[in-house]
Parts: sequence; C-alpha cells; structure tokens
Amino acid sequence: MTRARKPSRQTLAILTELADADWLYGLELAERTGLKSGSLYPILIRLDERGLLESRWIEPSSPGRPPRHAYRIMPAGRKALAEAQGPDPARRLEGFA
Amino acid sequence: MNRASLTEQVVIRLARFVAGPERRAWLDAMEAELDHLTSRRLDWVLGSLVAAVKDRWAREWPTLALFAVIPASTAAAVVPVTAIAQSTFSATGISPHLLGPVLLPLPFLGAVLLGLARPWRRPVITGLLGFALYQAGPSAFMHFAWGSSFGLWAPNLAQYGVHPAISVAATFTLWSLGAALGVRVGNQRRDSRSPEPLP
Repeated sequence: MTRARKPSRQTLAILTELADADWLYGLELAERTGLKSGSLYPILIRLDERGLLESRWIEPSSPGRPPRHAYRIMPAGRKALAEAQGPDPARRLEGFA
Repeated sequence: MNRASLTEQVVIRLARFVAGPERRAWLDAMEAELDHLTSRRLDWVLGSLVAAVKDRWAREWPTLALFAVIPASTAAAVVPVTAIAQSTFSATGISPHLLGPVLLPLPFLGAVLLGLARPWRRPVITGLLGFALYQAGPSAFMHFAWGSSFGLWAPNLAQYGVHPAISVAATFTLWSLGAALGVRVGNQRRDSRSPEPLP
C-alpha cells in the first residue's frame, strides 16, 4: 500500500507561483520563492516526473543567447495544490508566511 | 551574454558528472539560467551541484549505499580470514607467505555484488569505485580510530611476500573482473525478466 506524502512547504511555494503565472523560468521561480537552485531543481524534476508541471525550451528573444527552460503548472498540479491547501481559506495561507 | 568563468565551468561539469546522462537536459536548464545572472553566479552553479547530488541520491540511494557497505565489509573480512589462515598455517606448517594469495581474492565477491547491484552502469566505473573505496575506507578508519597515516593498504601484503605493485594491480584487476561478471549476470537476469514482445 502506498501513502501519498504531504507536499513540502517549498513544493507548495513552487506550485503556488506557477499557478499564478503562465510560463516561468528557473531563475524567476528562484527569485519568487526565495529558493536556491540546489533546492529548486530537485523539486522541479520531481514535479515534472509526476506530471504536476510541464517544461519546454523557449528560444531567446535576442540572438547569441542560449534557449531557456520554462515551467508551467499542469491540471494535476493545480489539483494537488488545492488538495494540499485544503478547504479552509485561513489554512491556505499557513506555511507561506 | 555572461560567459561562464573557468570555476563555474568546472563546477557545472562536475554537476553533470554527478547527475549522470539521464539529467543532461536539467543541467542544460540550470546552465542556461546562468547566462541571465550577473551576481551570485557561483552560488547558482554550486546550487546546481547540490541539486545534482540530491537528485542522484534520491534516485539511487540503495545502490549508492552499497558502495559504502560492500567495500567496508570486504575490508573487514580481511581480519578474520587473516586470523584463521595464520592459525591454520602455523598448525599445519604451511608457509605464511601463502596468506597473500589467500587474501587477494576477497574483493572478488564484493565486486560481483556491486556489479549485480547496478548492471546498467559500466563495469570499469563500478570496479574502480569499489577498488578506491576498498582502499580508502579502511585507511580513513584507521586514521581516525588510531591516528595511523593515510595510504593504500593493499601494499601491506608485501610483508607476506607480495610485491606492492603486484598487490595493488591484482586487487584492482579483481575488482574490475568481479564487477564485469556481476554486470553481465545482472543484465542477463534483467533481460530474462523483461516481458516477451508481442508476436
């Protein structure tokens, strides 16, 4: 029997930021969540593998720069976020302060 | 465009090695962000290394843990085998110089187990890591436990008549051969478990 693990505060912070935006780059997510790359990317990899977010390469607007990897929340990610936040609006803010 | 410094390139390269080929796209992603950073760039690349270590550990911690357990167990087995062999030799009058050949094959079993544990990896890397940990582990333990100096301990077989160069080369060869055998058997077992293709 497998038990669903409660998402960590960092995971919820990433999902919340993605839910409020369209595509976000890793650097933008790091700035918005306050997470360092060493914490951010293992979570992004896990969320991507579980189908909670999707990723794609976006070509640069100016020539000579490398394409960037961007992330967007999937419906399964929104559902996981809603379940983790629970029905009580006051509780939704817990852990994000 | 912010070109990566040599230090940043070295750290990224190390992170790529740690993460493995399965995560190449993710390391590309982390490196691409570096192009948009003007400050705290080293923090970002060191974070990439931390991310690579965390991700690799999360994926492979059971097999990585074996790299601590198997070489250490193999090294620990040397003590009782030496005691038993020495008492047998003295009781039967056999030359103590035969202890070297008795001890040398010990790593083979450990190498086979390591190869079996990760058959999808190249046996030369498995053998090399097993050999390195088999050498470094006891040396580090003896240093911290008894203050002895660091160094390879396979050459200690020299006192039993085995030349240090031969002892080290033979030990490394046994780790490599054992790992190759383990990988071969492990792959055969994996193939036999794969479902038959539909006609």
